[in-house]
Order: sequence, then C-alpha cells, then structure tokens
Amino acid sequence: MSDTSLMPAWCRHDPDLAVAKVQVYDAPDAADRLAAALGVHIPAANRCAEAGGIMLAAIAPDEWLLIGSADGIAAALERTDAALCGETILTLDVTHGLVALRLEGAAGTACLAAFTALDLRPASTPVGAALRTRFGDIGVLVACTDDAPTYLLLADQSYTPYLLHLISQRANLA
Amino acid sequence: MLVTGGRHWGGRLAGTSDSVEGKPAAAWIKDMLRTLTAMPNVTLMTRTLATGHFDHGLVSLCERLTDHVPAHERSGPRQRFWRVRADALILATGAIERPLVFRGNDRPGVMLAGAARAYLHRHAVVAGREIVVATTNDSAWYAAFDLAEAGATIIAIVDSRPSPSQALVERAEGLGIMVHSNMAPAAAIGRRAVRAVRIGRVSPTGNIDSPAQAVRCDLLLMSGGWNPAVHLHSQGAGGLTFDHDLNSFVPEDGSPGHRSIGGAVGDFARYSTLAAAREQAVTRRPGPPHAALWSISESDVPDAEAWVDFQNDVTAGDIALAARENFRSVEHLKRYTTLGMASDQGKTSNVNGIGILSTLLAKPMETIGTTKFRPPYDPIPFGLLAGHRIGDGLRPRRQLALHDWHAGRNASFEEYGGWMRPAAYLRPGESEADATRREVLAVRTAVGIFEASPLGKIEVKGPDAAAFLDLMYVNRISTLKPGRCRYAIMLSENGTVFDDGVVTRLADDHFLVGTTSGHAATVTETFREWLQCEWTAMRVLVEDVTTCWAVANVVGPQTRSVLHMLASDIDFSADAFAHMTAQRGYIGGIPARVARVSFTGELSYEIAVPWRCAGALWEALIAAGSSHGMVPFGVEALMTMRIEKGFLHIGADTDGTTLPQDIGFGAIMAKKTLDFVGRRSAHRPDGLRGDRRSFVGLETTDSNAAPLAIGAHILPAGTTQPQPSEGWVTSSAWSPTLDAPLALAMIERGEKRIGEIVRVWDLGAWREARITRPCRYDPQGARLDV
Repeated sequence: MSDTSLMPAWCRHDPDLAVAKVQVYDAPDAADRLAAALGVHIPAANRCAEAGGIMLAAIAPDEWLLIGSADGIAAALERTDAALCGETILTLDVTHGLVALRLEGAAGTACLAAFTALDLRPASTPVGAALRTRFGDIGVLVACTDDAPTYLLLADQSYTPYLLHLISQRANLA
Repeated sequence: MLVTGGRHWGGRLAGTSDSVEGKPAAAWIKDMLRTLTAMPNVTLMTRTLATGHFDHGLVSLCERLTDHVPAHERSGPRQRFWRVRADALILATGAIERPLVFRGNDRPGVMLAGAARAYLHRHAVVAGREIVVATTNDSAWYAAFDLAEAGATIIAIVDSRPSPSQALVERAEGLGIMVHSNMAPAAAIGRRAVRAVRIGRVSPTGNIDSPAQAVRCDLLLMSGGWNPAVHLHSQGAGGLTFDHDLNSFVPEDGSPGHRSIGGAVGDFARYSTLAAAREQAVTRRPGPPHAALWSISESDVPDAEAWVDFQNDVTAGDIALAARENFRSVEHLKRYTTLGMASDQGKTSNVNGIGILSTLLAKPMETIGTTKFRPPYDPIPFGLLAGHRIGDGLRPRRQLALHDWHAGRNASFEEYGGWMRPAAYLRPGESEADATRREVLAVRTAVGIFEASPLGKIEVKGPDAAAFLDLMYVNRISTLKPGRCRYAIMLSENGTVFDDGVVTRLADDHFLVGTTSGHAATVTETFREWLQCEWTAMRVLVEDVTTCWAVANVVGPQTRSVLHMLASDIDFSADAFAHMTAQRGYIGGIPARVARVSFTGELSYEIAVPWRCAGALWEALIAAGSSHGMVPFGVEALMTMRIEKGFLHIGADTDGTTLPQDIGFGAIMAKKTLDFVGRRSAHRPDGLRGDRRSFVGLETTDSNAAPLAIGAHILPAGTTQPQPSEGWVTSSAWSPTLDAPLALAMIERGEKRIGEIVRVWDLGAWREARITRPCRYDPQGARLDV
C-alpha cells in the first residue's frame, strides 16, 4: 500500500473495509435467496442497498459485491454459500485485491467529476448508486453512500500510487 | 455559469457606439457584469469556449489560461478542460458572416466586413486606408460607416440589391461614400495584395451581366449575409430548419434541454434577443431579408478561381465539377471536394457550398441539408484532451506488494507489462549486468527469492470448468488431477500463440489459471466473452484474483532447506510435494497456496499469500534464507535463467504470426482430439508450410563474447549478397552459468537445422552462430527432479 497519509482532507483511506464478490450462474431465484440470507433487499442494477452493516451492490447480472467489516463479510459469505448451496456459484473474498477510498463533500465530488465520466447530479447518481466506471485510465466502482455527498471508490490496489497521483494533482489545483 | 470564448464580454456589441436599453453599449455591459459578479451562484469565465454539446446537457469547455501570455512569462497549464453538466442551457453563439464567392476573393486585403469592424472596435485597428465594401445586406454598411468615422476612406459601397435602404444610402452620401447598387465584385485585382476590384451589374443568380469597371482599393470588405452558429445546438440533438429570409439554417423550436437566442436563431435585434433570454413573450420583427448570392461569375458557370472554402482550397468550380460527376449528396460533395473538412469545419464555407450546389441542381437547400456538426467547435490542443496524462499520470503503472522493500534494497525498477518491478538489486559499484550475473549464480548455486505477484491468477469454477478450459487451451486440461499443475498455451482465434501459464486444478470443478503478468485482465475478458457470447450453456464462472494474492518465488538447490525452517503445515519434501503439484496450508499462520513450478530450471516453489500478508511471509523467508546465502533477484536474472533453459517467453519469442507448431506444440495439437480456440486457424495452409520459422537456440561460434542483439537477422552461412531474412534473434543474454553468450531465435525450418552454422547480421556487422536446441542447461531436468 502506498503512503496514503498525504491525501487531502476530502479523501479518506478505509483500510478496514472488506469486500467479497458473489457470482451465480443461471439461478432465477438466486437474488431472492441471497436477499433472504443477508437480510438486505436486492438492489436494482447499478444500485446498492445496506442492512446490518453489509452493503450489497448489484454490479452485473447475477453478480454482486458485499461490502462491510471483515467479520461481517466472512459471516455473509458463509450465509451466501449456505443459501445458494447446490447452485453454480463463485464466492470470493477480494478484500486484498482492492483499495477503498472515500471522497467527501464538494471537493471529493469535483475530483470524481474530473477523472470519471459520471454525471454526478443527484438525478443521475443518487444516494445508493453503485456504478462501474473509469477513474483516469483504470476501472473502479463508485458508490454514493450518503448525501454529504460521500462516494466510496473501490479500485485494484496495485494502482494505488496512480490513484493517489491523480488525487493529489486535483488537490493541488484546488 | 456564463462563458465566452473571447477575453471580453459583449460579443460584437463591445466597443461599438450602439445603445442597449437606453444605455451606451459599454455602460450596459459593465452594469450587467457588476450585477452578475455580485451573484454568489454565478460563475463568469472569459477565454473559455464551449467546444462541444453532448447528451444529457454535457458541455465541454476549453479555458485558455495562459495562451495569451508571452511564452517567457507563462507558468502553469496553458489550458484547462471543463466538463459541465447543465440542467438548462442557453446558446447565445451568434452568427458567422458569409464571404462572397468571386474570382480572387482569397487575395490578401479581401476580408469579411464584420472582421474589419471587430478589429476596429476591439483593437482600434483600421484594416485599410482606401476601402471598398461589397455586400448583399445591411450589416456591412455599418462597418463602412464606423470605418469612415474612424478616418478611413470608403471608396464605395457595392450592394447587390437593386434598392438598398434609403436611410443607409443617405447616410453613406453624407459621409461622402459612393454607392453602387445592383452590383457585385466580379474579381479582386492584385497578386500579393488587393489593388482594385472589378465590379459590374449582377443578376439574382450571380452572373455579372454588364461590362465591369475597376475601382481602386487596398482593402475589400465583403458580406454575403449571416449564418446562425448552430453547431452546439445541432450537437445536442437539436433539429434545423431552413430560413428563407436569412437563406440559412436555423434551430428548430422545442429542442430538449437547451434553447438558442439572438444571432444563433437569426434574430439580430437586441430587444427581442434580450426578451428571449429573459423568457419574455415577444414578437420578433424580422429584419430585412439576407439575399442569397452564392457565387459570382463573369461567365455562366461557377468561377474556378472563386474560393468557397478558404482553408481547404475548394472553389466554386470544384463544386460544379462535383455536381457534374453526380456527387449530389451534401456528404458526397464534402468527401469529393473536401469542402468543410478543415479545422474550421466549414464555418464560413458550408452554407455557400450548399447554396452553389442547390443552384446547380435546381434543388432547394433545405432538401440538400447540412453535413454533421462535429465537436470541437473550434480547434483545441491535443494536450487539453490528454489532461492528466503527463508524467506519472501518463499511464497507470502498478506497484508490487513489496515495492518499498525492493526500493530499500536498491532495486533498479523497470516497467514490465505495466508493473514496476526490480530488474536487479544493485550493490555498491555494481552495474545492472554485474548484479544480474551475481544473482543468477546465487540462484544456481544456493537460493534466491523473487517477487512474482504480477503473475496472472484467474479462478475458474463450475461443473463445466474443465471442459471450458479444454476449449480455451491447446493442452488437455480435463485430465489434470486435483492438486496437479500443467503448463498450457492459449491461442487467439487466428491460431496464433496468445498467452501461456500454469493451470492448477484445485478441485474437480475449480481451477486456478496462471497467465503472463501483462495478460491477466485480457485473458479474463476473453474467458468471459466466450462464456457470455458463445458457450452460454456452460456452467462456469471466472474471476481475476491476481492482486488478491502476492507471490514469493523461492528458487535454487537450497530452497527446501529454507522452506523447512518455516513454521508450516506443508511438507515441502520431494516425496510429499512433487514437481508440478500444488498444496494449500499455512506458513507462519498465514494461509498460503503453494505450487512447485519452475521458470528457471531449478527447484522452485511459488508461495501465494493474501496480498497484505506479503510482508510477513517475505520477512520470514528472508530470515530463514539468511543462513543459506539467499539473495533477492530481479527480472533480468529470471530472464537470463529461462534463456539458459530455453523456456519460451510469450511476446518476446513469439509475435502476432507465431503458431503453436512453431514453438514445439505440433505434437500436442495432433494428439488432442478435442476442439479448442484457434485450432482450425492454426491448420490453414500457411500454418502447414514446411518452411515456417521454428523456435531454436543459437550459440555464437565467433570470437566475439558479446551477446547477439535481439532482432538480429539470420541468414545462411556464406551469405554475401542481400537476400530475405530466414529469421531473427528473439531473446539474448550473457549466461553466467555457461560463461557464454546465449540466444533464442525463430528461424526457418530451425528444428531441422540443429547444428547448422548461420550468419547473423548483428547491428551492422556479420557474426557467426550455430543453431542449437533451445535448452542449453540441464536438458534432462535433473536439477528439477530433486
């Protein structure tokens, strides 16, 4: 992990966040079973929902991210495996592959606007939006988690120096 | 947000003595700016041009920060690119004056009347001393009046209309300006600068039908009317309609999300423009019609020296030729003549060109239509779009799990497949070659450690995973037993070698697929594409987990001694852990996936642990290895050792033409009865040629100890005359193990020419070498089998 201590105040590293990925092959009721197992209603495509400390983001057909604490994700994965037992599923804890940043307030929004093609107006990216897009030249997931606004940005952790370079560029401009 | 491309506010109004809402123009503009500046929710930006209008109210802006500053005084960026998402958009983009199309209208000294007026008002420049103004409309008259009042001599106003406004004529006469009505310029006279203009009586279609007379001048101003600047409106999916008074295209009403006002809709009256901006109901009083005079000629055909597109040198004659050649669509006209293709995108030429075509085809302009209005509206620097892609932002580069550790050991970093990796660890006084030699010898004689985290890792799971991988790889994967590994190569649909790696079967329905470092994402995407588009019934799921796992590769004859010192539940002994097998367990309490595979020819274990645990594993290994002479080694040492072993490196030893049979996989392909991606393509007639290049080794037989250059060409021994190359060196290194230069190469019929002497054209000098088998070190693999 690169040095995140030099990040601007509106960008916060969230090192304790855990992330898992769930993929299911052709099980029409998989979403309902997953919802029941996690106690979260299944969000629409490109949206996320949260309950009991677990955020569930629908990032592709039959593909979800689970986001929360390490213990919470471990337990959620166990419940997911049990709920979808017998189906063709792939459940993986991908925490170690990702870096989680939280971009906050107007400055964080401006940074996202500068490096992504997202329309960040609330009508297009409301609280609960979870979108896969590009930040600079790498793929990321952006989720709007509150109306401060705060955006959770998940990216491949090997690109952390690149991400921090772009963010510091933006901070120096502001 | 209010933006303007220029440095001042007020457009053409600025600097004039006109009045607005009872105030002088300058005072009105100043009052408005004061009001707007006081509003906290208003941003005013000058030197900021709206260059494009896209879906959902997205507008691109080019802010020119220091372009106007002398180069030696500049600091910081020259421009800034803005993406603005507007809920409402008012386009006050104005109108662009039409040139008149007549012979010699490209001479220096011929310019638009509006431009001369702008020079006068914005820069206090009078563009000429003796001026003739040629026009089809009223606007140029005001340019003449302003210039006359500024001290210039207006020799004449030439108006194509039979009866210009009496008020204008009287004002001209009051200023001593001669007026020629119902006349037009037939030709500008002068070579390097205009000296005079020949004028004559003009018909409504532009024919000069009376003997022309010459009028002396050093500046000829022209105005053929005004075209609303509809570019941004049109880019935003707004429709256009033809205005017969303006003889030009104007925005249709009712475009979603934006509206145009003022000159942009052909409304040149200030009161109605302001009312429209304020969304007040107002009846627009149409101004006098702008007569169309598309092309002026002294013959009955368009003049071949009358310029329509000044940037792309398209003349009225060129358009006539296009029409004769039946290029009647406006898009075909554009491609045939290049009309409107230059950096101005036809701002001053397109409507004239469409008008000329309309006349030639006797077809209304509205049925001919316009070409597309593509962004950017005005040329912008490439650097503006490149934006952050400079310096460390040029392209994303990835960092290893233990980057800081490597940096602390004086690693010289280089980029390999997008990853910054240690090429070698330099000790004081060492060159990179020295360090590589030392590292190779240490690995061959003792033990080394290498961070192999970038190696691609893809989880492939599902009841059909084995069958799927059989389809994706040349090698048979379904026969692999759980816990076993197999080297495999993957082809593109063209049959060429695309990637390679070690596939490990974790369970009956679960595989871990290894890829080259730079190809993990691409191979994952390829898997998904086949599963989602072709083999949708296969129950298989894939996920790239490359950066979830960091990998330490421990290599060398002392490896087992080092691993035995670790606190682990894995038995690393030869009996318990065979070559090309994998095990899972814990090392120092860290969950680990370990594979016994080798890219060096030595005893080798690849230990994968969760990425953030890499430091703890690494430190444990370094501590355990210290008493066995363990050294970290870099990519250059690894490459040297794989060259010694003759191991293929995809992308170095292969290219976009290499087929599996070229690299020794012919027998495996022949043996495999199942189909796989690329099989059919690899067996096209070209793939079956007997003289294809094949993968071999080269040992130099001359007295030169330097390694051959990569890319050096191979020719038959005794070659003295130029002839086609038989192949080239693909990898080359000095072998510290064999104390000799070694190379790998692709050579025509190479595998049938083992032992043959060839000539090598090496950086401008002839050298001599012998073709060998690729493997030059431990061909029996005894060092692996320990």
